[in-house]
Amino acid sequence: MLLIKNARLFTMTQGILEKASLLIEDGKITAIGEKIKTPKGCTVLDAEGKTVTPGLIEACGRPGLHEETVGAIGADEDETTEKIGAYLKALDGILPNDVSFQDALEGGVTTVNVCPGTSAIIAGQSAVIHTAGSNIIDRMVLKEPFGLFVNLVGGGNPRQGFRDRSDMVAKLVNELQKAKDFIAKREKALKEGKDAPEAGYRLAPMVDVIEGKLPLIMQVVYLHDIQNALELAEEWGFRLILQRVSEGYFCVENLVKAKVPLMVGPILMNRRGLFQTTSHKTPGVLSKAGLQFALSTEHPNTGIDHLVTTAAIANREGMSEEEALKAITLYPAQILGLDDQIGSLEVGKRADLVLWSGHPFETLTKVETVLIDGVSVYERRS
Amino acid sequence: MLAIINGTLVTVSGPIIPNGTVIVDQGKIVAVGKNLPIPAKAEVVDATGKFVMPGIVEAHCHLGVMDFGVGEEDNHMDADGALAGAGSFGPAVTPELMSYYAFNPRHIQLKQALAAGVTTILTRPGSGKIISGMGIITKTYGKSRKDMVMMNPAEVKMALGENPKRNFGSKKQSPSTRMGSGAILRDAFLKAKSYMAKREKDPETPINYQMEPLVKVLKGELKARIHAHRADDIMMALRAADEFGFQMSIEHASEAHIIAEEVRKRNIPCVLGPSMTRTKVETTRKDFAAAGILEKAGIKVCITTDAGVVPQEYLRTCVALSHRAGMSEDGAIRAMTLTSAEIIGVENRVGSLDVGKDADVLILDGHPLELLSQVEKVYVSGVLAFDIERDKEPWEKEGV
Repeated sequence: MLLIKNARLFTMTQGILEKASLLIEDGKITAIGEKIKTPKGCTVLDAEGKTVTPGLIEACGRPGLHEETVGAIGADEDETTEKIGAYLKALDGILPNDVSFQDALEGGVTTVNVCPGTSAIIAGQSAVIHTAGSNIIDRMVLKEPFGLFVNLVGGGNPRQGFRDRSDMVAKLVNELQKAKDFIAKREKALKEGKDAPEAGYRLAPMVDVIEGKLPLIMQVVYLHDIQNALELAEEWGFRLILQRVSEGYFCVENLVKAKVPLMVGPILMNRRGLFQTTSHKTPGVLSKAGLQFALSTEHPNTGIDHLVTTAAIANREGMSEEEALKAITLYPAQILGLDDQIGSLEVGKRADLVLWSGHPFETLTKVETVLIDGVSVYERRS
Repeated sequence: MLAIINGTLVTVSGPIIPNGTVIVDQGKIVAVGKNLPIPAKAEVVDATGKFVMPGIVEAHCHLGVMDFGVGEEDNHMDADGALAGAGSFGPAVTPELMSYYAFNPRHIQLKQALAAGVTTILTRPGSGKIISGMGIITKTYGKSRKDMVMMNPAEVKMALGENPKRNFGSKKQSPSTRMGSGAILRDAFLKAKSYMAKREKDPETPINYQMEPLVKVLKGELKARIHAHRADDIMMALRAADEFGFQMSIEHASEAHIIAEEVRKRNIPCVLGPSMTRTKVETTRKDFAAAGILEKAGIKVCITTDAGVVPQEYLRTCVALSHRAGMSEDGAIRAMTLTSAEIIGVENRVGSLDVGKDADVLILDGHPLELLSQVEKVYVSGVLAFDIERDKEPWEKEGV
């Protein structure tokens, strides 16, 4: 049992509470308010002058999957020989004690959707995990698989060489058609009283996509990438999440109309390759049009510890403070379908939270304590 | 509503009208002629001393789908195609690839084309394969990609001669010879024919995305557009068209004029060019005089830049040089407007100043075939898409 008192609480759903308290029992938030009695035997943390936010959520990144600084030995995000890898699982490649998870905690990130890399057309299944808590990846999982990571971006990835959008679309469509054919075949067999055929592990995820059980997370950069994804989703009826959305400012109307979830970013990048048209202003432009979306570092493109920096820059460049904060907490939780567990400070939710020395968007503010399921996983050493 | 008055109207479909008026409403041409009443609510543009003509139509280019110089855009030539799992064809046959998905409507070269008066283009895959994919017909200006694209798919692109030979030969794959190219082309159509028969017999035969475009070609729903420079390559294409009964155009056609009779008797159109440069062995005998020779032989011929091979801005220049080398004035103007539109199948929408067509209209300060005349205003569906004064870059303005 832990009582945090005198804190400034950024609840995300109930606004900002000043000089408030928050009670944690059995890994859950059990009370929030100005006057909470200290239960017997409860540890008390006086957070005078400090700010508490929900643990930050990185909507798309590759910590542990792309081990930093070790090169090919630790690069497990791209099965480069496989262009149609719907059956591949990010979970199989994540190293729980990779240095990037330490970075994540230092930046207040407690949850991340780990996505396979960008060199395949269908890269594999993502996994939503906590950034700490165990040396065994299975114990860190919140949702697996969450989505199927798909890449429709031509040109740029140097590991893949030169690519072509029409080629990528043709291959994706072929897989969707195969899944559709399989569903028809299965229905026919069942109608005729025969045993249902097996989809097999390679095709089964695509069948889930057609049946709406597994969303496609599509990496889109340029205007025509975004439009390709939206038009394909309309044609095939799969659940779509757009990731990167760099040229979203060209087609705000399309995005407003389509109502698909967005994982916007990285925006803190040099302008090499596909990042030529990336802008700090994109989140502000989209937000002003009424769109609610997640901001993302797509670690390691921007380091995962700079998720909060990304939100601060987005705030400076036109996004409201409230929306920028929600874009790294509540909105990604909603996109990941975990807003009943994480993403805000509310009674009944997991006690994933961050204690900051000041306002999270101020340069000199530090993360002091990080809790996951009520357990301290990070304490800043002075 | 818009009224362009007092201009010399190059209508293309009819005679030149001096001091004529074009009236535009809701994106379409609603009246063309002399002494027309000007509707009270029309915005009036005075074209005294100017030439007014339809927007230029490019029948063969790669704008928006291939990036010459940057190396960052799509290139169907290098795509490995060959659907995983389908495996119907080898790597040299990828009819399933759609340029639509590769088309970047914000590409800088579209802006440059527009400024030169090119308003409609057929943009398509490259020529590194025997069958490379499906091109689209699009305007060079519009609010969105859906708004711009006029036809998708618009064709199936094929190529013979040295490009596929070099592309695959250098990888020690087939085709490495013209023999190989001919065999692969025939093989693809034979397979498509048997797939078509199978689907007709048993509608539950699964759809094969590689076969479908070729079936459309066999049924006459899409045209084959075959890259062939040399006479022997053109003949190979004609033999295939004879055997499988499909409709086609000859793309580039650098030596079509030396076998004009074979082309004429099959009534096959030629998209001629690029004649500006001689970059490959197969273009050795290219000649600006070819257009006039084909015209006199009674063959439908339009002129292409193959942009970005030759920049799209030079289409009018290429047409003017073909006129100088023997093509008639009328034929030359048609070779970048109405004939191009007819060959690609959009003559009901663009290519001439006629009532009911899209209001794609150019105002030039001189005759379209004069090298010195400049495009001053470009209207696309009645919208002023380019204006030489309004759209000057900062460094083009005085005082910079």
